[in-house]
This record gives sequence, C-alpha cells and structure tokens, in this order.
Amino acid sequence: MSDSGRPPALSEDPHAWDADTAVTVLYAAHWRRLVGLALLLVKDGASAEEVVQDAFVALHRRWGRLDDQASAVAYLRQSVVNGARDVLRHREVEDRRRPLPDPEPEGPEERAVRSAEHRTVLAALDALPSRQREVLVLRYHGDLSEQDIAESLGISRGAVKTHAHRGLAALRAAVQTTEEHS
Amino acid sequence: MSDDPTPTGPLPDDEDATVRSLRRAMAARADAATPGDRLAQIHHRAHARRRATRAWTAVAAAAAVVVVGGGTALALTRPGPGDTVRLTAASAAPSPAASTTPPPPTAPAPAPSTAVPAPAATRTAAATTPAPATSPVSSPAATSALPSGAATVPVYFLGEGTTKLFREFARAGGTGDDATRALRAMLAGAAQDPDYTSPWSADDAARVTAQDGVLVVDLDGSAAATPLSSARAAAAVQQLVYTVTAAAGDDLPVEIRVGAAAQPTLFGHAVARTVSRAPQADVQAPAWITSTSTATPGRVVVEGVGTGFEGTLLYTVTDASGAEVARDAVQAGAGGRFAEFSVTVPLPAGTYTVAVQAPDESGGEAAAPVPDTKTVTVR
Repeated sequence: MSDSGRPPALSEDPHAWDADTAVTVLYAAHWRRLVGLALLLVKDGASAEEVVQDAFVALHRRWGRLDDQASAVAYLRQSVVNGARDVLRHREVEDRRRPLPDPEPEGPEERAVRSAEHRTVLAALDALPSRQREVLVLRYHGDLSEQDIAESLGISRGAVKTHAHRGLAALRAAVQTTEEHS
Repeated sequence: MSDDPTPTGPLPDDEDATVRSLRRAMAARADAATPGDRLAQIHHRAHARRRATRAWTAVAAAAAVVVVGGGTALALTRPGPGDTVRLTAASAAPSPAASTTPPPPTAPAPAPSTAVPAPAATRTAAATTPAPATSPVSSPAATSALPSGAATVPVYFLGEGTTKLFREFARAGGTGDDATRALRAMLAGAAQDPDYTSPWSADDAARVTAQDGVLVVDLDGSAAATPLSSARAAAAVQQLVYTVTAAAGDDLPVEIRVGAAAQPTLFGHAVARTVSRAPQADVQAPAWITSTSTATPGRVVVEGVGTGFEGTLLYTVTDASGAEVARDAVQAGAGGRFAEFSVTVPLPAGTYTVAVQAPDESGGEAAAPVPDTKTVTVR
C-alpha cells in the first residue's frame, strides 16, 4: 500500500481521531454489517437503518468520553441492540403507520438468496418471542459470548441459555414439520 | 414450559444442524440488506446541536476525510466476515433538505466488500427522516428529494369487484423518483394480475414532489374523469395515496392537485386538501399472495401477507376443471395486523388456481370474501 494516497491529516492512531473522523472510519467499516444485525432484530430495513444511524450519532456525541476507544465497536453494537428493542416495543403503534405492510420488496437478489430452507428458518425465527430471537441473533449471527449476551440484554447467563435452547427447539420443530410436509 | 429442563452445558454450535441452518439463513438475510448511505446525515445530526451557521463547512470538512487503507480501522475491531478493509471517501454532499434543486442521492457508498446492486441502495436519508428539526439553514422552500433508483416500485390496485387494495411491484421504467414512477405506473393501470383493476387513466406527465412534509401529486384532469360511486372513488384515492407513500417510503399526507389546483374533483367527488393513508385493515385486502413458486416439481409454495380473525386465513386450490383439490387454514396476522404467511401444497403436475382469503366467520351474512388468486403450473 503506497503512502501517496494517504491524506496527511489522518493519524494512524485511533486515539488521536476526533469524533468526526472516528464516525467516518467506523461507518465505512461497520455500517453495512450493523444494518444487517439490526435487520435480523427488527425485521424491516428502514427501521434497521434508523437504529444504526442513531447508534452512530450517539457514538459521535460520546466519542471523547469513551474510556477505551477500542470499545467503540462494542458501543455501537450495544446501541443497536437497545435501539432495536425500542423499535420492537413501539412496533404495535408504528405498524399502523408504516407504508409497507410486508417485508422488504422482494428484489431478485433477495429472492435468490432466500432458498426455501432459509425461508422456513427465518419465518420460525421471526415468530419467536423477542428475547429468544435476540439471543439467537447475537449468539449465532453476532458471535457474542454467552457472557456478552447476558450483559448486552441485562439478563443472567442462565437466562441466555434458556432462551437460546427454547428458541433452537422451536426452530428445529419448524424445520422438521416442513420436511414432513414435503 | 416446566417440562423443558434447560441443559446447562455450552450452547450448541456448528455441530448442530439447526444452528448451521440458522447461521446460513441469517447471513443470507443480512447480506441481502442494501442500506442507503447515511454518513452525511449522521454527521449532520451529530453536529446539529452545536453549531448554527457554519454548518455545511463543518460537515463537508468532516466528510471529506479520505481514508486509504483500513489498517487503523481493523485495529479497532474484531475482523468479521462482513468487514471491509478498504475505505473510500465519504459523501460530502449536503443534505437534500437544504437544497432547492433536490440532488439525486449521491452515493459514494461505503465500499462494501461484496458487490451490492447500486440501484437498491438509494433509500436514503432524505425520505425516511423528513425535514430534520435541526436543519441548520432556514430554507423557506423546503422541497426535499424523494428516493429514486429502485429496481421495482410498489403499485396498488383495486380488486375486481371490490374496493379493497392489492399491491404489485412493477418494473416501472421512465425517469424520476420512485414515487413518480410508481404513480405513473398506477395511472397506466396495467397490473400483472388480471384480477386487479384501476379506475385511473394514464398520465405520463404526472409527478410527485415532497414539500414541507406533504407529498404533492400533480395530475391532469383526464386521469380521474370517470364518475364513480363515492365508495369506489374513495378507494381509488386511497389506491393513489398508498402507492405514492409506499414508493416514497414515508407515510406523509398526500395533496392531490389537478392542473395545479388543490382540492380537485376526482371521479365526480370532491377531495380533501390532504389525504393520509386509511388504516390498513380498512382498505387493504385481507390476504395478498406475494409469490408463488413451482420450482420444485410436485408442489407449489405460496407466500403472502394477510390478516384474519385469530390470524387464520383460508387457502384453496382448484384444478383446471374447477374441482377443489386442497383446502386448509394458514396462519397470518391477527387483530388487524398484517403478517407474512407461507404454505407448501403438494400437487400432481398440472395447472391450478390458488386462492387465499379471510374465512367467512359470519355464516354468509357478511360481504363476500375478497380472495387473492394466482394461477400456477406444477411440474
């Protein structure tokens, strides 16, 4: 990688970044992935983008006060989890106002990746109680540890296990039912 | 669930088929997300409280930082499969809200590592957060940009013989924002489903603009000239309102103007200055079939959205002779909430009609149910 393209203004050291730079860099690296995480939690793309946008705005305001700036990504993720929970809490009200009653427009690319198997699993995931869904998304998509999930959701590790096992059991049953029908 | 003793060991991982399947499915859904570029809006909001007049120079300066080579970014994070190492310049475009001629959503997208179809990524900030309260410049003519570039746009129709709405996604051509393209496609009225109709007449010059939190629809008088019953005229207006708000991605009030005049007469009936979406349960057909797939021989997979008493919808399949060959309940949303349903029906090869409707709970007293029907050919 040549130095010639690097603007002189930007320090290599994240600790020297101001909030604008931090947001710009972290956005480039994590925007899309965090929207993907939020999408799994809130199930609609517009809300997912809102939640992640709010997380970046919050990070900007907090940047100078983060004890350990390396925790910025964890902070963003936590903000997304919290924001997604708020969205779900208000979903009942919002649902009456949202323009599109159905999931994302089924673009060709989305349809292509959602095979029948994916659809069954995702439908079962969407039908889970929100706690179970949160635990499964954070564990198996976010790859958080049980401890991190417990802290992130404010519940005990035992509760994390319980929710995960119940959620997986429901998914297993859904997939088996579909196979029997086939 | 007291009969459900929770195992105490570590959670299952990839040795478990359900976990593997769940991981793949979630990755597919997350990867399919094509978010718009909101960096400029994030900077804008982050700074909104602190500054007043030097707003745009600050945003532009911040956003113009160009990062080449993402080593520093990786140092902050655990690298994951979705991580992008190469960073590009952020968009330095000012928010459309501050501009009188709405620019198209500028999209130097944040260089996702996997290829994302560009047109889908244009559901931008301007539409979903209309006129931020923190707008740094007071611009009296608050025309804002509408999303554009979607591959398909939502278009609503009336069901044949009903005043209930159905929706299709149309590959609407033409230029302009998505709402304008959807509006023109709706006026043209060529639904893919032969059971869907529209009382509107084509108007290729019709357009939608967003002004001060209202979607303004400009039509020619000929678009709505045919007199209709008041119920059908109201349904037609909702058809338009649902179409433009869906395509604009924002549930704003809609002002319809004919020849630049507000409060026009449409289909022989006066229309209020602005019309908002009526509640879904009041205007939308209780069941929509959004896709049918016969990709696998010997079956049809029917998907849709709907609402029914206790969440129950009824599907039926009839063969080419009109004989019913399948009938069962399918679970969708309840209590006026619309939710997805999916049903797989095994069938011998042949051509069939699939219908989904809300079951008649009244013993024939109520109005006839409004089914959505599709013809499928099973291999």
